Amino acid sequence: MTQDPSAFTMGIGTIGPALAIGMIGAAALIGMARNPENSEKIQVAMIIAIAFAEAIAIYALVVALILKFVS
Amino acid sequence: MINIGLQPEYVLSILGISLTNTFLTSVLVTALLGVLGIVFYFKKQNCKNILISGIRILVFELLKLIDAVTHDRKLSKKILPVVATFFLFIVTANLLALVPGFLGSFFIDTPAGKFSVLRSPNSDLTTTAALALFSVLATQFFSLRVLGIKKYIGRFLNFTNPVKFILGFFEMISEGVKVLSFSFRLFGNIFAGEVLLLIIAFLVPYIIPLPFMILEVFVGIIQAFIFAVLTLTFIKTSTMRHIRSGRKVDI
Repeated sequence: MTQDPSAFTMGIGTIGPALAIGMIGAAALIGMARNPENSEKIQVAMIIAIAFAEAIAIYALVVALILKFVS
Repeated sequence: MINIGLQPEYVLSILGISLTNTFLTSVLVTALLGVLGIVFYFKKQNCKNILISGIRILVFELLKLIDAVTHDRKLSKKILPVVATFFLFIVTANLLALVPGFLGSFFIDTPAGKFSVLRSPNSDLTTTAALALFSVLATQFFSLRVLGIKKYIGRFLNFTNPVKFILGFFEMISEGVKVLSFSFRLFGNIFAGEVLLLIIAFLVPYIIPLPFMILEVFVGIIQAFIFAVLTLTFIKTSTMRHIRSGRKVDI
């Protein structure tokens, strides 16, 4: 199907985390707009949640790098 | 093509033990932070030097951030050394690798090839795995100290209820997954940044690497912050006690 498995890994593996980070950001913005005095707490929680979601994309990246650089 | 290695390169051999270039850089980072700490300790309290005041502000802001999560000044003061050390070590290690002309300038000829003597410590899975292991062990230590040994074992092996037994089993698996997650998050971000900078410098050496270096500075600071805040969050959730009606309270 494809000649390069590492490109395919990265292509499929970043769809989920991108959607997740978008949804987390949207929920955080709605919460901050509804209640601006809690912005600090919402922002810290949002950063932690985005870190968890981004870690999944990083796992896909590490697998792609291993496929590329380890023969 | 260029030589990008997933494995770190062994550059030095002391008393029969081979050392990698990432280890040498992490020793350098530790020495730098140690000198900064000693200078900070011996200056008087209200010194007008900008470096000393900067360090004092940074540590105090970290204490306020820990306060925002734990709501308890006593616990914050106990956690502050661990969390602040993680943050300062990782941020110094990441930013030191981006100072121009510093880490890539010294080469050494070994039998395996010509390698750079210093390399960013977090681009090596051993450093990040060690940091992750230490973070999870610190969480267990704080949990054990605050809860006592019976409640600590009761977090994982809970025989009152079949559902709680399976949940306790998943707690154990979750602790192991945390080690992997911490180490791969930091390793993936920093190593991918290194590969990106190398490839961009290979394609267009002038001017174009600048936005990518700005991105790498940003990513380095954010990853250090995330490591420290995640350690803090896990310590906080592992030192919370259940009272008998099932509600969680702070101790």
